Amino acid sequence: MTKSILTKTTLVAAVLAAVAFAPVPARAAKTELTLGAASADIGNLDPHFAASTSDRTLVAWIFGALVRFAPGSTDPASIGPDLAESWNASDDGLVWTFKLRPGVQWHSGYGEVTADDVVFSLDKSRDPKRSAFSGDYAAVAKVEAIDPLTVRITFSSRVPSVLGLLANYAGGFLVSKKAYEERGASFSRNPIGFGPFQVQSIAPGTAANFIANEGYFRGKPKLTKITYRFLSNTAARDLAFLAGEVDAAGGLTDKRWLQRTLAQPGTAVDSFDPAELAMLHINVTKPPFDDLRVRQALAYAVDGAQIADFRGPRFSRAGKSAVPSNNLGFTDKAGALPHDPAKAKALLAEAGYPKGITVTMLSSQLPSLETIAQILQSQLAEAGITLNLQPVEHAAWQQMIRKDLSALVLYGAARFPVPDYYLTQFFHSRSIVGKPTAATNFSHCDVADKQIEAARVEVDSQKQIAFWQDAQKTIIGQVCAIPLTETRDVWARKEKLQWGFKFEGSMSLGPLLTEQTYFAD
Amino acid sequence: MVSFLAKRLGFAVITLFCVLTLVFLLVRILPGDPALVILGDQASPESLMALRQRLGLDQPLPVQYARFLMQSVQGDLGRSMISGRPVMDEILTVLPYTLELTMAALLLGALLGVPAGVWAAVKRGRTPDYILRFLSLVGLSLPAFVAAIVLLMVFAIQLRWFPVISAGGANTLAERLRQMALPTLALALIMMAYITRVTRSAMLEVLSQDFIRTARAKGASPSRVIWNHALGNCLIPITTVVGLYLGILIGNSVLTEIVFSRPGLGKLILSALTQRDYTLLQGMIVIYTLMVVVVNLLTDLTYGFLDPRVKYK
Repeated sequence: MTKSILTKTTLVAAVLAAVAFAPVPARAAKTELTLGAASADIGNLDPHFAASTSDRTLVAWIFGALVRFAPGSTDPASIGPDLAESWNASDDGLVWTFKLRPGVQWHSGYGEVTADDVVFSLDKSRDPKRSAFSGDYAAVAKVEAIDPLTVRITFSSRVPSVLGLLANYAGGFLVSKKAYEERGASFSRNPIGFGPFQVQSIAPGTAANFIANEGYFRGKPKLTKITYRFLSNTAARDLAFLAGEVDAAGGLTDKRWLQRTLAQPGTAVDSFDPAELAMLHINVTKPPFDDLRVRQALAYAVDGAQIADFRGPRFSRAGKSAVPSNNLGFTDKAGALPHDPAKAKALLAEAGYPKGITVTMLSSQLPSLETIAQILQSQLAEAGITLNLQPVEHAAWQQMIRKDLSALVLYGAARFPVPDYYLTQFFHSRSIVGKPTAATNFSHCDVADKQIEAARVEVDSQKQIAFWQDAQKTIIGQVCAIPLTETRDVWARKEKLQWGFKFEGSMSLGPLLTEQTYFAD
Repeated sequence: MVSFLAKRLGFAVITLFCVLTLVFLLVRILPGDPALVILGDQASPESLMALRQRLGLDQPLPVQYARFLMQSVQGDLGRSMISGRPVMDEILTVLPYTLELTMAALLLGALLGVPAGVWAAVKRGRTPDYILRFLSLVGLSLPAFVAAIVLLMVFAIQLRWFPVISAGGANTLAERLRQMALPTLALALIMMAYITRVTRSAMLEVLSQDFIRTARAKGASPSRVIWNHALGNCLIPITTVVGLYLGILIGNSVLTEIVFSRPGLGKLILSALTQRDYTLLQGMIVIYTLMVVVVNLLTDLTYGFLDPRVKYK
């Protein structure tokens, strides 16, 4: 008995000692990341078709390009090497030659990235049947492989930002020729790129799973695994973040959301460019808006600063011009009219409407647009303008406004931060809705065509910027559209999660994950 | 029996055809351009046109309709316009989620609702009856998503008994059941409220009948009278309600699926609608119609097992 007790005691002591003196493994930092996205499912992971915010976010982890924006920035001046190590342009700016980095590998053993892949990819980007962004590449005349590591691109006319077209954004992403040809239609869910992360599996409606591309040319990613959860419901996403089931989650551009989220300990909120510029586009051909005084009255009646303040000053500010403020050559001296309801009333009276006017606007039921429309309604009322809102489901609204069914269109958009994109799509006469070349010119504005076209081909960058600023002043002066607010998107994250760069902007509209992203311990 | 089945199947085919036609027309009357939804508002006009051609949306309506009917007859529901996957695959991926949730909720609702209804009937006009009637009224009036959020706040956030995200990533059966608990409860609450009320009123009617008095007179114990004599005769109305409600439950589970972040038929049809995925929408409505037809048929057939007096002609 005694012996038995003794043995037991010795055993327990030995075990305790073993536990106490065993080398304690350093607690490894977490390497598996779970994100909660405001999306219902994967749409299309072929980068040349990825149009939704969520798909764009994901393709930026999977694919690379010839050049890339510095992580965390949307400034075209930050564009630097990605696959291309170096490049040079001919004096006329029409022929560009890129030297590729050797030894960069596609995911899943699809071999080395070569000039042939680049040629294939850029040819795909400019083919309307295989790309949604073909319009951006209209000026590309030919893309050739000079040798396996040299690519030459010839343009038929000058474009405002050659590097922008070839950066890690939309049609600039490079796809593997072999994988695309092998996988055909299924490439959209089984994509092959050379970015830091690769698709492991997709559970429809539940999650997309990624693993690190250990052979990534900038180094092995610090994260090993990413689970991208589809949490389309705002409340569910918030609760999942609160419960710690996701490490970061898409947020809401809403003051109360921000307050609620920041109240949780260990939480950070990132707001990032490109800010979406919401504008009230006015059809200048339809009475009473064919009278400049009526349009000016509308401009005096609205107060962008008030709307921005209502949404939340942390991520929303008043719009100032005809392009978003992160655009090259943006000017806040475009002549946007100040808030002055009395002046609005006086102008209306002068235009022959002493009792004010009543107008109807089709309005999207998208919550962010709906909120602005309702504030707009009350602001206009103060100036004697009765705004009747006709709420329409968002997809229906998108088609109806393209059929010119609403003289007023409240539209929010961010574009590639070179003004040519925003100005051309919203204010060039080629883009007027209803035309075969239509884009999103809802105002039928044609007053700045000359400046937009001149800037596009201008060689001198100072003169180019002068043309763009002149275009902004002309459009705002003629009140084709009234800038209301600029709103950045927001994501909440646990403070331990470090993006690995200063997250001020993302051309992919969501958090960029790089080989540097990690969890601090 | 055979002629009954044949007749019912004939009706089912006609119903399906009408629904197919109606759905085909409705989704196309609805404004909204699938190409624009798929490619986004920055797509070039040429890309939009190319996609419309590929999807066959540039064809005249009768041509599209004829192609749609031909495919449907061959059992081909087409491919989703958004994901490019076969519609059948899309549906089969999420169907198990919907079925497990609906069945679990139905089972739980019936297991709790029938005894509650019986008890309320037996205690008619007394406290348990009032409490149960009040609770079932609450269950019926409470929107599913409110119940869902409240359940999440209490059991997932405060108590941390269950996860917020109720699907995916579970490796064990126990984990799977833990994920399913809250959504099942949210749906079962409504189911239970319905069943309680139907059981109660059916029981009250049966309890007042002569054969119950006879059973009591010949000395059957109170519990035997209630559970054997009375409840047995209530099963037909209860089954009818359950059968009818099952269809509604499958359709209504959409809010539960959204709040609990579960994939499912409800969520799939909602996203097909908002994204104007015509083919997926059509395919799903065909499947829904089939399910309602099948459930109704099964309900009718169940009557025969529950009550030998029912004959199928």
